[in-house]
Amino acid sequence: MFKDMSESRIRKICSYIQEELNKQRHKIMLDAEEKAQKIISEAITNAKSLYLEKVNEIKGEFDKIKNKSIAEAEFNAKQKILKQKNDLICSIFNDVLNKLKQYMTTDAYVKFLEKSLIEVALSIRSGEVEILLCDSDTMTSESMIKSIEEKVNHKLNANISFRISQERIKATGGFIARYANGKISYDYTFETILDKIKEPLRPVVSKILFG
Amino acid sequence: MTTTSLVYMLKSIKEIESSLINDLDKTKMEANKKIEQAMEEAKKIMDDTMQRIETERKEIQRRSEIEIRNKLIEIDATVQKILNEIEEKAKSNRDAAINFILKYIFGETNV
Repeated sequence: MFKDMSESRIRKICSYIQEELNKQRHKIMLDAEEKAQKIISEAITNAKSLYLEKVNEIKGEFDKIKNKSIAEAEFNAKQKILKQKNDLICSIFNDVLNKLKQYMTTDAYVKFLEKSLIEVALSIRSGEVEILLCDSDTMTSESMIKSIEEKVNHKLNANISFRISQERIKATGGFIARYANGKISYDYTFETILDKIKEPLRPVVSKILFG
Repeated sequence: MTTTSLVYMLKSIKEIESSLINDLDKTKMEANKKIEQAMEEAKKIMDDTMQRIETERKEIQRRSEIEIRNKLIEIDATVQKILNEIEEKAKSNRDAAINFILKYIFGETNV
């Protein structure tokens, strides 16, 4: 009887301990489950935001590369077009220089001489001016120059004497006028004239050429 | 209650307690394992994401390269067209431009 009583008590106590322990085990498992869920759910959230952030970053990075490449290509394209235009304009001036050779024996060249010598005369008004012709000039003579001198002096009421120098210059056409023992010179060679007018005429020539 | 019965009772309880603590330890181990598995899964999620990002990066790069290539081809074609037009215009207006410069030099025209 005594043993039965003891066993009954033991069972009760054990049952109580078992129950408490079960509760504890259940709670431990539940906590673990909760924690596991949290870990996974946090990982999913972090992964999603990391994915979006990185993909946006990559898109931005490649957009920059793309824009840079396109901008460079557009810049190079513009340069290429400008160079082509520039080359064509330069070739026009080269053609002009070749064409000018043909003018060396025309009345237009005489007019050019007259116009240019008037410009010289306007600057100096009086004194002796030495004219250096180019070596290909076979038309300009002393008498022609003297005739121009007369016209210029008459027109400007000046006292200038033009004299053709024995010295010749290497140029396609035109001349160099020297004054005051060569201290002052006026370069009217075709090459220099073209060089001087190239820049100011470029916009007009460009407009004529390319519309 | 006699001493003998008390001793017997305590001994029994002790045995059961020991067995239950053992069970509890197993449960804790099981719980830790669950958390470890979750951490492994989380790591796998992140690894997969990194892999997806890398794949996406390659795809974005591929698309970007195609876009750039197409754009460059387009620019080249446009430039070539413009250059041809310029060449054509220059060819047909060449004489006019030369005459203009000649007239300018000979004082027949002003700018």
